[in-house]
Amino acid sequence: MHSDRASLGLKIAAVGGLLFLHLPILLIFLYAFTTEDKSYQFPPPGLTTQWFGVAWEREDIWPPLYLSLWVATIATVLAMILGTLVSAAMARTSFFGREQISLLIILPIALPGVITGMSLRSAFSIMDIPFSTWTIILGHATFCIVIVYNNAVARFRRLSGGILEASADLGANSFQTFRYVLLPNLGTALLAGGMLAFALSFDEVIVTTFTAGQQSTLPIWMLQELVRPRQRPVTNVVAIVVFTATFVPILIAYYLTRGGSETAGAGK
Amino acid sequence: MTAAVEFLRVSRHFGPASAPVKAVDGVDLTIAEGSFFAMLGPSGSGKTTCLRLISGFEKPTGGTIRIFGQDVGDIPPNRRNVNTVFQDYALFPHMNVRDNVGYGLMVKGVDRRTRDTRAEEMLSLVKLEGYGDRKPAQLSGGQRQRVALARALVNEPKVLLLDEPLGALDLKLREAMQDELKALQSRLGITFVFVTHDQGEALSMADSLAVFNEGKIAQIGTPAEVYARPRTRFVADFVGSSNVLPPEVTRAFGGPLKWSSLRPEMLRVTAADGVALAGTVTGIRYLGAGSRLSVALNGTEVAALLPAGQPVPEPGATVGLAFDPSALHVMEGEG
Repeated sequence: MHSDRASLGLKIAAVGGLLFLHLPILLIFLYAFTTEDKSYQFPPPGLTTQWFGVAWEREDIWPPLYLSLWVATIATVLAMILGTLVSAAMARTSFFGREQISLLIILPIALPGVITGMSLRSAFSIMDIPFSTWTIILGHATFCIVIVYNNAVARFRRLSGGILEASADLGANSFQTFRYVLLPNLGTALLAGGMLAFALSFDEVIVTTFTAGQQSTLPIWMLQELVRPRQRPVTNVVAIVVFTATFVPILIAYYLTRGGSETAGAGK
Repeated sequence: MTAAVEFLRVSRHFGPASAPVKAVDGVDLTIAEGSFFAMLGPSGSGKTTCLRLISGFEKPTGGTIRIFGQDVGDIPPNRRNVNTVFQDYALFPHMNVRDNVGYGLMVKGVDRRTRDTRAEEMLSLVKLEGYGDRKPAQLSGGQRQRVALARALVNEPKVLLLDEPLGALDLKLREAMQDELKALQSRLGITFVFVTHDQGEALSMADSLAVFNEGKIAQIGTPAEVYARPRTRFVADFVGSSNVLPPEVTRAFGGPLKWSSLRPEMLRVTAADGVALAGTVTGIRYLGAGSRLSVALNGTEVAALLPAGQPVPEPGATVGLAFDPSALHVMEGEG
């Protein structure tokens, strides 16, 4: 007989796996409140909230935070425009070499970050492009586009191709078809893709290291801070901020795409 | 009578010019205004491409298409006064039924009040009053079909195109919808162009029909004409699966040395002795309203329809076949 209930061993293994994945995150939170600031001592000798105040006063945190927000925003906007256009082209037309091009589009996310970083760095130096905020944005956009593309192309496939023709058949011009039929059906997928892209860009380290020059984004600043012996819990306070800044959009994206599948005709 | 749609030597070829795929090849066609016109053919015969040529989603590679006398070569789909009921209905999943039906008016800039009133009128026309607030996903197949119909009719098209609209429905619903479509068409007086691969559907609904084969029209005429006097072997076999007899057999059956068609229901099964045509029963298929006998005679397999209530012979039995000489239709066309 087939049983719908998992065995006890499987349950314990599953819980153990989840704990292994998520307990370290709780430790990050815990060390933000420790009174000991030179090493991560367990258990913490005492708890305090003073590090939130200290972090707020530290002036070197703000430029990396602003830079990270700015880079993530621009990279996401770029990705949403280009990713949507590419997915429309790939989903609605067929041409010679379409499968190969689809692979090329997805490649940046499959490629190790060091490869992307190295190749971009050498390309920038060959073209004599000085490192700046824009080189970071370009680096991030390479994989952000893929995130948006993947979300959009999946939604395009699920859309019945006939609805765009039906719209034209009923007298709508291409702008009206885009505005009233395509966008409402694509909207949640694009938003979800955008949120994921934002989260991915916000905590990216590897590609940023290769393309940033003298500037630091927030994750890179954190990496540098960990090496120093003083005021370590400040880094943990920032980690909580990063966690919130990336987790909330991902959560929203999750609920958006879930709702999207219902409107796309999954039934009651 | 004016022509609603005219095809003049229309072709639609795909692929390279050196080896084109001729989806539609030199079709001449006239569809009378206010008629119920069926395009009948197996899949890949070009009937759907013809429909898409009328709606404007395909452009002809040769020839001219006129809709009410106007050459539509340069007119895109959204500016043709023609609407389509799509095969998969293609309802907008994110809109409720009312907004789906009112869509054609919305893109024209009609205000919401008028739009909603018109949408309700259309929904009552297709017997879906009170369904305006539902989403397409909450409807059954037959209801979606009606919404698609209401949506296509809201713009008051001069020609309504229907692409296998009943294909996804079960038999009972299909028959009910056939009657309703026919009634709707005669009430509205709009020209309906109906694509189907179901010959029964085409025969029972159409005022006239075109039988498509390999991108060309094999025959065009009223259902009675096409059924009684198929022009080619293909038409005889596809419409009502007739007995297609080669020239020698036609001669043996008392006709000239030409291909001919003999409908199974025109053959009477008699006792074997004393008749000119006798053969062996090789198969019996029970159809409910009768049985279909396969009889081997003169080296040809001939099908005969045996009405219910008559004694059914055993397989292997020898039977006689008789028919009215006028039932033997000699075909003029080739192929």
